[in-house]
Amino acid sequence: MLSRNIRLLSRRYSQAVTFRTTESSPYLADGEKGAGKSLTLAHLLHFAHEDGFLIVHIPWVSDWLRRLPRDKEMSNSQSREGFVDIPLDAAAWLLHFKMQNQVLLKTGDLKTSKEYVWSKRESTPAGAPLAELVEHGIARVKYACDVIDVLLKEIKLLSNAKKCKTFVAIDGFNSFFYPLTRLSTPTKKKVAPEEVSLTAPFMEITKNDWTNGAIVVTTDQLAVPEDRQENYLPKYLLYQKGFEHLDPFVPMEIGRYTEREFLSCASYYRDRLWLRGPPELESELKLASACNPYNFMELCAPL
Amino acid sequence: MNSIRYKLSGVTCSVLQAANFRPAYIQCRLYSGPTSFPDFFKNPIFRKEEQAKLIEINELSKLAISPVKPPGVSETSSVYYDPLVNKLINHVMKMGKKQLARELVEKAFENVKRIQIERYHLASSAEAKAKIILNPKDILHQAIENCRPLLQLLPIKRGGIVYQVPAPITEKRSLFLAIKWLLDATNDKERTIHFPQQFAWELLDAANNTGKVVKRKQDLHRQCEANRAYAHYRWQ
Repeated sequence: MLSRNIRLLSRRYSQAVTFRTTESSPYLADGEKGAGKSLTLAHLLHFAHEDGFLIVHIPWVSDWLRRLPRDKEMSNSQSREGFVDIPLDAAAWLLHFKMQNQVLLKTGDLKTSKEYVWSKRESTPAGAPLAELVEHGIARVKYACDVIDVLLKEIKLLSNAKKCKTFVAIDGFNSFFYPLTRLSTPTKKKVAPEEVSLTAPFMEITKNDWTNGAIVVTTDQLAVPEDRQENYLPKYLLYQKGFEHLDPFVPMEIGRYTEREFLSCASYYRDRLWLRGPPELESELKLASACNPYNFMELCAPL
Repeated sequence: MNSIRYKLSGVTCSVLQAANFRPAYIQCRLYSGPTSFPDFFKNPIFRKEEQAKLIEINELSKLAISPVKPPGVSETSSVYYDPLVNKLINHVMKMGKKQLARELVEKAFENVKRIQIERYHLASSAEAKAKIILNPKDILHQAIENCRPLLQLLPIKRGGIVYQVPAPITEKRSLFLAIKWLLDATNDKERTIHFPQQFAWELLDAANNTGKVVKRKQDLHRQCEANRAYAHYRWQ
C-alpha cells in the first residue's frame, strides 16, 4: 500500500538476482521499528513471483515461537528425540506455501529424489511431484513438520540441479536465536528454539551452500520480548550464533523516508482521500513523525 | 458580555444578551480551576491568525511585555488544532487518562473516515459523491450542531409540586449536553463492540440527523412544547 522508492527496490532485487552465480549470500534487511522492512520484503516477493521464482516465505517467525501458549498445540516430535513439534502451524505454512507456488507446483518439473516412508501404510515414492508431498503434509497434520524438513531439502537439491530458482524470504529471523520461546514440552518444560523441529529446516535453507536462489531475511526488534529490544542492529539481535550462521551476508539498511519518498507517500494518501488539508501540513507531519513510515501512518489516521 | 441573573428558589439561570457574541467554547479560560498563576496573568494567544490580528492593531507588543500564562499541552498552533476536538477528548477522559481518551477519539475519527471513503467509492453519481463529507472533524461539527438542544427543562417548585419548566439555554450548556448525550449513547453499546466503532456510528448518525441522540433532542423539544403553559413560572 505504501510506495517506497521503486528504483531502490529494483536495484536491490537485481543484485539479488545477479548475485547467485556461485553461492548465494543472504541479504539482511535491518532497520528501526516501523522503517518498512516487512513491506520491502512484500515488494521483493512480488517481483520474485512475477519472475517465476519458487517462493519459500515465512510471514512472521514469532507467530510460531512466541504466540500465547494457551492457543498452541505442541507435541513431542516422533522422528527426533527431545524435539517439540507445532503441527497446526506447520500445516498452515504448507497451505501458505501451496497457495504462493500454485503455478510452479502444477506445471513445473519438480520431483522428489528419494522415497520417504511416513508410517507402515503411508509413503511417498521417489519421483513423486512436490505437490503430492505438500498435500500429504496438509492432510496428515501429524507429519507436517517432517514434511517441511523433507520439502526444504528437496528444494535445495532441485535448485542445485537448476530445475527451479528459489526465493527464500523470512521476516523476523532473529526470533530463531532468542534463548527461550513461549512453547513448552507436554511436561511443561520451557523450550529453546533449537529444540523446535521447525527451526532446523529453515536454518538449513539459509546457509550459503546452495546455488540458483536468493535469500532475504529481516531482523526485527519486535520479534523478541521487550528485554532484548534496546537496539535494532543485526549483531545485537542475532546473537553470536545467528551472526555466524548468516555470515557473510549483505546488509540492507532500511532507513526512514527521504524527502522524495515522504512526498510521494503523502501525495498517495491525498490521492486515496485519506489525508486532506492545506499543504503546510506536510512539513508539520514530517517533523512530528520524524519521517518514520509507521509514525507517519499513525499520525495521518485521524486527520 | 451582559448577563442578567435570576435567582428562583435555589435555581440560577443566566440569559446572555450581547451584540457580538463569541462562541463560548473558544473562550480564553483555559484552566478550569485556580492555577498557580496570579489573576493579573493574561491568557496566551497561541494561534497565528489571532497573533496576526493583534499585530495589525499594534497590541501584540504590549502583550509581549506583560506576564502571560503558558498554554496547555493540547493548545498548539498546528494546522489541525480544533478546540471542539480538545473539549470532546476531555469529556471522554476518565481518571485523568488523557492519552487513552485521545487514542479512542482518534480511532473513532479513523473509523468515520473509512466508512465515508467506502460510501464515496460506492456512490455512483458525481452529485452523490459531492454530498459525502470525508473530513471526520467536519462530521463531528455537523453532528454536534444537530444534537444541540435549543431549550432546557428546569425543575421549579410551586405550591408543593415540581414542574418541568422550559427555559432558554446557554451555548456552553447546549454544547455540554450535546457531547454528553453523544457519549451516553455510545456507552450504551454491546459489550463486544469497542468504543471507537460505536462512537463513529453515533457521529455519522447524528450528522445525518438520525439516530438516538437526535431523537433525544427532539423528545426534549417536544416536552418543552408540551409544557409551554408553565413557562411563566420562571418569574413569580
